[in-house]
Amino acid sequence: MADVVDASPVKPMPERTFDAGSYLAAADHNRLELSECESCGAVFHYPRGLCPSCAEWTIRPFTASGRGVIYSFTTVHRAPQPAFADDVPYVLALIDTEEGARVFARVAASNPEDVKIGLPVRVTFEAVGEGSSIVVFELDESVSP
Amino acid sequence: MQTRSLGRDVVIVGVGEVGIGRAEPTGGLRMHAQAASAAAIDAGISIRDIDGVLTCNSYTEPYRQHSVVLAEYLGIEPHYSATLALGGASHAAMVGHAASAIATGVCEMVLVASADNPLTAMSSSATVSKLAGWGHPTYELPYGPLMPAYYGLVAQRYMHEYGLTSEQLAKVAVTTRQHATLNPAAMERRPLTVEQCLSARPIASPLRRHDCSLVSDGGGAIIVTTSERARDLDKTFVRILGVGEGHTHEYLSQARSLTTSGAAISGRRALEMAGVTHDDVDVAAIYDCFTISVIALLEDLGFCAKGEGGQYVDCEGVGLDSRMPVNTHGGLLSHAHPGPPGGIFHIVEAVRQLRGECDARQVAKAQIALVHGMGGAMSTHCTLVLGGD
Repeated sequence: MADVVDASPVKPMPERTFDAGSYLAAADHNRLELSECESCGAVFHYPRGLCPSCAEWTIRPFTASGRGVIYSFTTVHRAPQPAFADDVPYVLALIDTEEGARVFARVAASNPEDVKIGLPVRVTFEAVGEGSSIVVFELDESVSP
Repeated sequence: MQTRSLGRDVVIVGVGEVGIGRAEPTGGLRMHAQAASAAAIDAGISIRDIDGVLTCNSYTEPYRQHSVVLAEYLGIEPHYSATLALGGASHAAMVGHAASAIATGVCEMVLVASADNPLTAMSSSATVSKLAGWGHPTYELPYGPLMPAYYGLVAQRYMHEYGLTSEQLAKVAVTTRQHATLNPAAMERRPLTVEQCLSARPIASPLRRHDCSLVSDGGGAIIVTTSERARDLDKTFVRILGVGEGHTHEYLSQARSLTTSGAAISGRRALEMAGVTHDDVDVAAIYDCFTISVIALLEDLGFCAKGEGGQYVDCEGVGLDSRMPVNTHGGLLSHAHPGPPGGIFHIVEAVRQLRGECDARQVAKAQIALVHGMGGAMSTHCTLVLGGD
């Protein structure tokens, strides 16, 4: 496989949609925001106008604890774009937050071999531009799995 | 509940494929037309007989109203036209849509076409980038995902829950490659061993190079019509017995389960509509963008119990000597994966198996075929059940 890529050398920034506004602003201030339905109590991510469980338009964003466990993960060895070439290998994961929503994010681990399903993680934030941060997770060694 | 039925005998009367592997750099639209011509010749019809056109667009030469552009290119004015966007489930779904349109009298002779040349037009790495661009633009793309990463997440969870092994995944790649060696049209025909698979370079753990499908050129087309029209043509036709769809999510974080997919819904609906059981299926063509998808889909379609896909591959197997050979053309893993057209070759192969045209890879007395298409990250699903005449 040729490794010459004609895609952008810059990492993509999160697309700023109306629905994502509050979540992204929270991340910029180092807070993980999830959504809760005030009608049925469902907690979910990603944010949207109506509840995916009961279809009511009664959504309240809230700041999550940032704690969760790894539901599944993969270690990426092949960068999708040149901008990620220096990062490989890196770990992408689905995190089950303790509030109940599942979140896709990177797990920052100095050794990808340390990452396992079921391990506890906590949120941290990675600066991706002036005043902008994205949610990432790291292994939480303060909690016994 | 009333049994769903097309209420009319709808059949596939022609198939064609073009430019498999590395095509002339002619562009996606021209390849669609070439595939359409091949299928029309196979059916014994004129392009002018086509009154419905279904497509699912192109990476290299996309159009906003793609099916309409193809009809214009072909010089026809159809009564029915649509461009579907269900990824690898599009092709089975297009056959289902064609059958519905014909059964309700909207049209009589539908062209389903899909072709692209990402290998010659985009370079392999650019295609990987294009596929990576499938992720959610706010919540996924900033992290650098690529398509194998989503299936790596699925495979990792499978291994955790059910003890699935890398060897079992490798067996899917090796058997599929054995089939490709018997198909002169297949792009990748070099023999492959389990050891080669296990030592190949990692892409997105636990998936390695041979767990991932090819990047190729290629196109296919299918002509759908009524059995009455087909009888007037001098061609063995294949009946569309059942069709079912099941779409559970788009982005993997939204999937209720990483180990049970919408195929459990689409497969049951298609088999019920066809009025056949799993034991009746002689040959299957199952979307194999990654080795894990074959194992997951065999389970979800009900050919083995949940969690037993790995043992099924070990004990029963999916080769030509098994009870139900899978992906006899070589699949996306070894025949071709040109991006948008991915799922059409599974249908073309099923039709050829039911017509008894597959020579060295022919499944003896194949009467019932099951085809399953899947798009996204285990997201969109469509199952077809086809029957020989």
